[in-house]
Amino acid sequence: MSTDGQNDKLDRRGFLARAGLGAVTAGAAGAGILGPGSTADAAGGQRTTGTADDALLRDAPIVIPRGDPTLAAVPFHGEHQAGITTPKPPAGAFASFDVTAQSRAELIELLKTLSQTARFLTGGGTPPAPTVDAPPADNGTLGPTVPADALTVTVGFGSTLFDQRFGLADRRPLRLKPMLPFPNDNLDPAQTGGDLLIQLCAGNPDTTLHAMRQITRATRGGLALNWRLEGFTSPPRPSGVPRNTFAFKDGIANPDVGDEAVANRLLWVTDGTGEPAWATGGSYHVVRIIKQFVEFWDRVSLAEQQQMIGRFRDSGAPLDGSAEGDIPNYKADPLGYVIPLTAHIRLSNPRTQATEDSRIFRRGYNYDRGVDLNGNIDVGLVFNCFQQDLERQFIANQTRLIGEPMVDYISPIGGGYFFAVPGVRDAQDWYASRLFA
Amino acid sequence: MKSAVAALLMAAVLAGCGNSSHAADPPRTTTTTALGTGGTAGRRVSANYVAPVVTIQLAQPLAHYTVYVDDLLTLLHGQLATLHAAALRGDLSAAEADWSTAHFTWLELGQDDSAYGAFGELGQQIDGMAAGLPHTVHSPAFTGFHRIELDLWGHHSGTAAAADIAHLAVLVRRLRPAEVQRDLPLTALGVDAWVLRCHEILEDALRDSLSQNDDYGSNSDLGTLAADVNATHEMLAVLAPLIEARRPKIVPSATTDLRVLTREIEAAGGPAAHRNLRAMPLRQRQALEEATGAAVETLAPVSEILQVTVPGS
Repeated sequence: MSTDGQNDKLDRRGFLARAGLGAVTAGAAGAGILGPGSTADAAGGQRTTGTADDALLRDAPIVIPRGDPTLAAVPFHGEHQAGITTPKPPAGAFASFDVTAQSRAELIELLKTLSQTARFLTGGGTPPAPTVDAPPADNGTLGPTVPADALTVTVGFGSTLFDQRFGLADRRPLRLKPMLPFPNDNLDPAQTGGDLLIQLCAGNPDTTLHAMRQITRATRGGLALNWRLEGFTSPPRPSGVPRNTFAFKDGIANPDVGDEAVANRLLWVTDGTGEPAWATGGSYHVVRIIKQFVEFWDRVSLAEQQQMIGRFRDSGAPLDGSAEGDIPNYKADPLGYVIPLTAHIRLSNPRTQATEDSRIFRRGYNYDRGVDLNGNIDVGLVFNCFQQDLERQFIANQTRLIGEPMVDYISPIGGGYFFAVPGVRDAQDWYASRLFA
Repeated sequence: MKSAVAALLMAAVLAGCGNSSHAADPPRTTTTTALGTGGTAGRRVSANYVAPVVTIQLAQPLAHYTVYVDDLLTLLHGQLATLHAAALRGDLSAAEADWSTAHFTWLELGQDDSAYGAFGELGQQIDGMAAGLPHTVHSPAFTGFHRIELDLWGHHSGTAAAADIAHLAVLVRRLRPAEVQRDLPLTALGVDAWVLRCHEILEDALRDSLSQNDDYGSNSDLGTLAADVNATHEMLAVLAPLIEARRPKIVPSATTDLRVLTREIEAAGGPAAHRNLRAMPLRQRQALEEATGAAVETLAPVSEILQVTVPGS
């Protein structure tokens, strides 16, 4: 194992300090990589310590070069919830809850509280100053002023919320149901389903974690966590759509939901879809925790990897194309000589008139969370998609993918079907208010 | 029967050589005119040259392997009869031992949990897991070895086991000879898939057995791992001449890796020990994981080296 740059630096600094060569050399060496803002603090601290007692090792504040920690706020109010068609920031967190509220009235209070909390967090601002008679209202992990950081809070309901507990049985979205396993699934009940799902997206993972803590705190007593998972989106490597943990660019072929006609056809529940009236403006939300066996994948030849996916790994181009945005021409290749008939992109989106209506809008995140029982790295994809109709879109898509060659390298282990409720309209509105009207 | 199947296969393999443009058999190496330019060109350099393999060169390994498969199936029929008798008379401890013996025989075919689908739907019925079924273990489609495992270790029911064993015996009998032929494919693409087993049998062990995802109560994954080692040894043995002619270091180092793995299995109690891997001390489990991991790393290039070149493409 080679020593990384940071340890190397620490060793050298320790040596220099002991030899009495002082702060100037080391400080100068460090300054080049200190970000703006942290330079003064770090250098100041070092000088003070160095002068006070040369026998003590000096502090070297950790240096993290990274992007903008304060992305602009994404509007919270609207016809649809944010976090669906709004730009996908790098950090994504998912949490499934069961509702422990005891009555319909309590559930309504819970949703109002959740709305208020989300409204504040997504807008950012300064929380109330701590007082002497209670712990601080904000956990403080984002500093005294909460930056918006493009946070979105997207709330969805599972089919179990529409049982007898809250008198909502006759208002269940038509297609909402529990996620049954597909033939290649290995669903763990502890990571599957739930009454309510919250998707948090933001510019940085500390922002989503801050929000998760504020939300669970505000709803304590009414919402019990089932499972949660944090994800990330990689930066372009080196350009274009980000890569998943199999190194392939993932999410190239999303429908253009910026076009309102497309969105109304594929994404949003509209008045004509036979759904209960309150559901208009919502969207079916599918989350699948898909473990990816990256060790196994890394032992597969590039040619076979590309045949399984149907794209070139390096460029993201379909195997019959030259750039990632190229549309594969399946009509010219009916026997699958260039892009195999079983390639993932071909099964998932055959690009025929008949399958256009089954297209889904993906918004996935990679996850990385430790070690599996067999010593493998536990990484994968939080497959995350939105659609107007669960059956016609996601389920039809996934049914086409049953038995695809890639199934040996992945294992869907959890997630669920949810209904992302319509947007919170204004400062007086709250999540799914029309459901209770 | 045995030699008849082998001869049939040999003939079909020979025939397959002259028929490389079969519609169901798209060549792995696509022509440069049809292939897009989005890849990285010039990846192969002469220092990495590998002598091409044509289908006919796999005829003899396939013939040997057919004999191996046929012998195991014959053995399995007898073992299932013994297992059935034990379950019928309600002797659960004998049935558990007989189940392990029969299951290990099945695994030596290289068909662990029917992961690679070589026997198709039938393989799934014989050794599939319940996870992907709508009602998992309660589904009527959950059949075969793992259902019987649940009958014996989970429900302690000789009666349920006997019925499920009888069903399994019918399924296994359907494998021969037609399914065996399907398992040992005749097309270039199919042969490539067969060659993949060199490392994929142990990939499967690593994924499903060392995680004990495939356990329904018997805690027999040490034995599963040992059977997978045997199946891999057999693949290596029949393919050794072809591999050694191209990359002489792989077979000896894979053989060493497999010996290390066998030693670690012994150290953990041996194939007959029923051990819950989830409860095994971390050090011991790590030794098994690393030995398996090392073997698959060594074996991974085999499928590339032996990738079949279709003449004329």
